[in-house]
Amino acid sequence: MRHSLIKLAGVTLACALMVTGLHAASTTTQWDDVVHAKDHPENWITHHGSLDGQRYSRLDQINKENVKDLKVAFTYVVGGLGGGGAWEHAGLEGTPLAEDGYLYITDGWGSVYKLDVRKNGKLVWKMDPETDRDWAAEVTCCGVDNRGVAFWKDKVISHALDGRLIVTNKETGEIESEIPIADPAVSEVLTVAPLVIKDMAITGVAGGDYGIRGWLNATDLSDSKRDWRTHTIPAPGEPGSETWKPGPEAHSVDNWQHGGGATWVNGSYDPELNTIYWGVGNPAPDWDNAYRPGDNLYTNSALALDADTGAIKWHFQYTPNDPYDYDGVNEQTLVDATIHGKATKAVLHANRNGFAYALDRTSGKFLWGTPFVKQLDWTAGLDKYSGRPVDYDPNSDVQRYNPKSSVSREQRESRSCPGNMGGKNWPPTAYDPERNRYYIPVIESCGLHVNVPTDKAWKAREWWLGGAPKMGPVITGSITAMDVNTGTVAGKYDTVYPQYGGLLATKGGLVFAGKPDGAVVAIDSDTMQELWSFTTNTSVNAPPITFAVDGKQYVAILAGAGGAWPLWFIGATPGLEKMEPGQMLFVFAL
Amino acid sequence: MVFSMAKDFVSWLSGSMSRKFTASLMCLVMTILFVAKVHAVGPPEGVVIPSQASYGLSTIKRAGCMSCHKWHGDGGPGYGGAAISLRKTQLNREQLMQTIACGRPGRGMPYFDSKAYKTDICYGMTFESFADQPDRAPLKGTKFLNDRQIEAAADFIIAELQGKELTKEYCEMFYGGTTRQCKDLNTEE
Repeated sequence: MRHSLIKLAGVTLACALMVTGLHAASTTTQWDDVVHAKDHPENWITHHGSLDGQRYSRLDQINKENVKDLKVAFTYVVGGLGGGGAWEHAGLEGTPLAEDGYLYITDGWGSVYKLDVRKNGKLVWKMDPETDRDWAAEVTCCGVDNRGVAFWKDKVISHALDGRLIVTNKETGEIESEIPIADPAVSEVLTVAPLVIKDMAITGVAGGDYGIRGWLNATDLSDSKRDWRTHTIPAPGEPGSETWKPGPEAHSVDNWQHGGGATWVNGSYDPELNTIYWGVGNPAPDWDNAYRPGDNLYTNSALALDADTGAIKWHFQYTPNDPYDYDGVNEQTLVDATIHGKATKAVLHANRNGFAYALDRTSGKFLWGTPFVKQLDWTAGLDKYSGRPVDYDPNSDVQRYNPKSSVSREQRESRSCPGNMGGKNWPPTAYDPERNRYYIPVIESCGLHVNVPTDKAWKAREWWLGGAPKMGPVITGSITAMDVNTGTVAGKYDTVYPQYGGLLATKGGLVFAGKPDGAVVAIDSDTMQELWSFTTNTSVNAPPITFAVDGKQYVAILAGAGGAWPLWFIGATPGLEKMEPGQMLFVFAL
Repeated sequence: MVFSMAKDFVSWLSGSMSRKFTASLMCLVMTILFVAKVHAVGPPEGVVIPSQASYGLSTIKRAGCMSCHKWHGDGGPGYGGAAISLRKTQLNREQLMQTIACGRPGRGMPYFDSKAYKTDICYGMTFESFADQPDRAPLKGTKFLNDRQIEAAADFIIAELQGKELTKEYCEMFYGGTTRQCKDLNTEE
């Protein structure tokens, strides 16, 4: 009898261990899982939800009819709020990843947290990369932020602000390798989430406003070696280098060396075409375009790159020789959609300059371009064939567009619509394939610009702006729906404040968003009416995701903004100064 | 000294308790004291923050002054505007305090006094004075400062920045310790 009891206890223990083991075991993420991520909407295993960048989920348990009953399932207080360099505190801009009942989130300093959804967000492990805070943050233009992680096999791949790519064991949280990618000594820092393609981690870099020479970098995760690095500013003799003509000063002759072109927002990938699509940031110095005569390729451009070699297949430039800081870094959304009545492989993009664009993603051919903002005055429109701004002057190396809107060495102050923050900033768009609608988080703004002629040579770890933005009139926002077939605005959900929270679209007929005033909302994908709202009481900057565990759908979002807005643009958004910094993960369910 | 006091305290507390328990309690208190010492707020050993400067430094950090004037105080272009150099400024204490309190309308410098422009204490102007030129209206600072803080910020500028070269000592004082940020700077002569 005693023997049997021992046997029974042994079997029970073994079963318990097996069950526990099943839950604790790390999940291996295969490349095929990532390619077909949309077929498994219970997980969210790549930055934009799927490699096409759509941020669309097929989950529909939460839908128009029942979203009013959405409630907090659990919360998690995120660490890493402390400041560094010029920044009093960090912020949360990350997109969580979800896989088999676990959430993986990051704080602004790059710590990764693995949370157990079945245990109401209980911490499984935390990986702290011990970021060199002052060193990195002092050359971080726009806030201490980290936008999330990637999965590769049984590893979690992440970035630290101070330039490292970090490989962490998914089960234990132990760091397995740290690979230096970017160098803060020349103002290169990493805020972007890695994009894993096959066995490569693609890294984009921040620092355009400090005069880096931007790049995209591919690291082979099998051996930690570099696969390729493609600079976004061509060197003399390379295609595109003719668009960097010598400036008038001795120190502006080689202006391309510090020409900007950062890549700090995640791109997307088409497995059939084996092509990476990535947006490139503004040229530098930002407000002194006489320093850098020419179109300044490939700044403010969409790049299509061969994933195996990093070779540029085609490019499309939105704002040549930009004098406005109309950064082109925003995400590229791949859609197989009806455009002008024809099935098209397209790439969509909402630019800081206030235009949304559709291009043929096989060739880069311009399909349509439409203002998504209420006020746009820097150019009268886009050429219907080329997509170039109609006020672009092909006979001038230094563009003025609408001269009233742009600064120059002769006209030191100006006002443009949109202002330099956009249009739309980095918080991502969402695309609903059933409705063929593209949803854009919009900053409805006009802003002031100042030119300060660049009279000194570039210096490492100093701003490289040639001027500055200046606080202008009150800024509001909207979530704007575009009809992708016609390229027209289909509807707007107006917001009191600039919409600097990213978006998520679902099969439930909903668009989810966080807002600067602390609200998290669900709006009707068709009517653009608000159906549900929850107040977090801290500013929300990060994009939401959705996932399911044991058949139950959840929506998760990080709340707590840092970044440039609270520091420099708060005067244009009266009321937001009352938002206290905080850092919290909110997870909702019915 | 600290540890000796701890021993006395534990002796008093433990009274007739067993020696083993006393030893355990002693260890616990010493551990707490050690941890408290290691994690004490303040700069690492060897880095001195002059007391008269520390309140001014914490004030300018709190108000975000250095997000435009930079950690080195030399200003220059930035997302917050092309700020002046606090090392080269010719303003006297009173003028510095007025500029901090009232800002410079139309020039990017925000005001940090909560009373500014509600009455005419700033340059004889109120918000209504800017009704027909909204683009030049006074900008509100990210946080308001009280009179003591405004004085401390002005005193910090005069004591540590105005007319002075950037040194390694200043850098380490600003960051509260040794950091790679200060590595290549010259020390004071």
